[in-house]
Amino acid sequence: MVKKKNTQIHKYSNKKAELSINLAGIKMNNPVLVASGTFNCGKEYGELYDLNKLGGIITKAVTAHRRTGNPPPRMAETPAGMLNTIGLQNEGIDYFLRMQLPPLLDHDIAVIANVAGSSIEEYVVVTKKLSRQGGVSGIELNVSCPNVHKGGLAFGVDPKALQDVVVAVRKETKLPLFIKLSPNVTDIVALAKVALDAGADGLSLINTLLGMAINIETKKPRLSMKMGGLSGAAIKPVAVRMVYQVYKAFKCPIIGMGGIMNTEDALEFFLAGASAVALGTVNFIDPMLATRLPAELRSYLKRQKANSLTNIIGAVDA
Amino acid sequence: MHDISVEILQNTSVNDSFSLLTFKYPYPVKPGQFVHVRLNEQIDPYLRRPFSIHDYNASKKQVTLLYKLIGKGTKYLALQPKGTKLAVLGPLGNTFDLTKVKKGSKVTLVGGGIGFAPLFYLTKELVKKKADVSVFIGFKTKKEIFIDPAWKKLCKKIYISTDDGTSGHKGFVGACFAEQMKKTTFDQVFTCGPELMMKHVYTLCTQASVPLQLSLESIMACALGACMCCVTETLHGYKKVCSDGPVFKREELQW
Repeated sequence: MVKKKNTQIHKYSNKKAELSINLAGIKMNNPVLVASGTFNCGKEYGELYDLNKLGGIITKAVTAHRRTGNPPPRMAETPAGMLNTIGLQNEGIDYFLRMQLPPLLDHDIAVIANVAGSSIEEYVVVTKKLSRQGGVSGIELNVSCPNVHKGGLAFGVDPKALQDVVVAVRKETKLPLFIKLSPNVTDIVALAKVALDAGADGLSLINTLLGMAINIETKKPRLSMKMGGLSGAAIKPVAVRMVYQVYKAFKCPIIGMGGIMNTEDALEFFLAGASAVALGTVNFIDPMLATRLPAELRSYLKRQKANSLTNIIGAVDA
Repeated sequence: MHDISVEILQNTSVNDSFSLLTFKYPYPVKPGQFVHVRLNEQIDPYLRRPFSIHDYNASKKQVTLLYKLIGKGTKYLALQPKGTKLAVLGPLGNTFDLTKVKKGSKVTLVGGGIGFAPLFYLTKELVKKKADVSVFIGFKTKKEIFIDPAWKKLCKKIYISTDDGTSGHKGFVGACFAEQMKKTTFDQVFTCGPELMMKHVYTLCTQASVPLQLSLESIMACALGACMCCVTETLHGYKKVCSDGPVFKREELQW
């Protein structure tokens, strides 16, 4: 009787093991994450489907204090994509820990907190509080924020600033630490090396591409802040290329993202070298993709006679 | 909230500007709410489009949208024949608050642009409450005018204005409403339409201390409150048009 029960449990977990991963210490039932900023902290999409279907969630960026965000218009649709300039609107780390994190922890999913700041001190404060309270599975550092001490230049495009912020945050936490790199650089491999050498456990690739759109009738930019981050299908080839280059150079854990619209897109990221994928803009267009993707990945693996997802990670060069 | 695939039962243009689209919808919707429609499986137009509920038939479980052919999204939608499948996310947003409307309440609806779309379903619910309803609708020109025959049957006091004076009151609908306000008092006003028009109605109602509910329009990405793309400035900071609204009370806005 006991033996039979064990076999059943073993069979069940075996079935799940096809997709379960350990991402630099972050254990996930499947490799499907949702990208920061597109999913807030899960409450809204939790009304649409059971969040337990996800491998995990990467939260909306959290800063040390409440931020009201940028004035509207904050979004403009572009061919196969969209531009946004939300301006890190969030309620701050204390509210996050008290109100937004606890309901997420009731789920059997990884919770990766996206941390943002305008100064190294701000990143450190948020990281310290997250580590002290516990609960989150890992941290993703948003280094695309303007550095107020460097005239607004983003941390992620300045090797020295990137090194300094990663070193400072690394000192404060033992949690798995991912750096979400900016694609607005000439050599992504060089910036990836800086982040990994400074103590990052893995990388998230890619954040949005800086873009702009103009209303020809009013002759004004279509976004309040003139420029914004381009996301969506339009950026996928850039993202796949960057995942490929970085994986080839370092074989490090990578969360791949940027324009995934369907299972085929997600598979390109795994083949390029991503260990997990994050769905972003597609949540606005096909929100249920996140719930279908695990089964569809499984059926691809079966078709390819692969026992596990790990067999196809970086396989483009195999 | 559900994301379901529906089949178009009817998608017909009523004139050069407007089209009506009907589909079966299993979930009850309330006046003021909206749905977020995926137009195609391709990547251009890319995002979904939010549409208010023009009519809801509870017994047939049918939703009708009235949309204006403005951009590439609505123009694409207008080409889709009966039987086409559409992904519909909804019902979304808050609703017009009818709790203070009583039998005999003098209620006025002011709509312009495509903003009059949700006012038909609202009229139906107000008539059920035996309110005394008058409706002011502004069109650009005579050729654009479309009022559902059932709406005319339901409400005897529908006042039309056209910007160019080719039919009804000449000028903006706000001016037409302003004239009426001089003659009578209203217990409650509802409005939906271009911001400039709603600002006019807002000013008139504020001066006369009349309760006003405004249904705001905005471009949206997620339409359920997660992405924070569609915020509007209120007395309590930025609020999301999609999930805190689309209906806001006069006192909440900072116009």
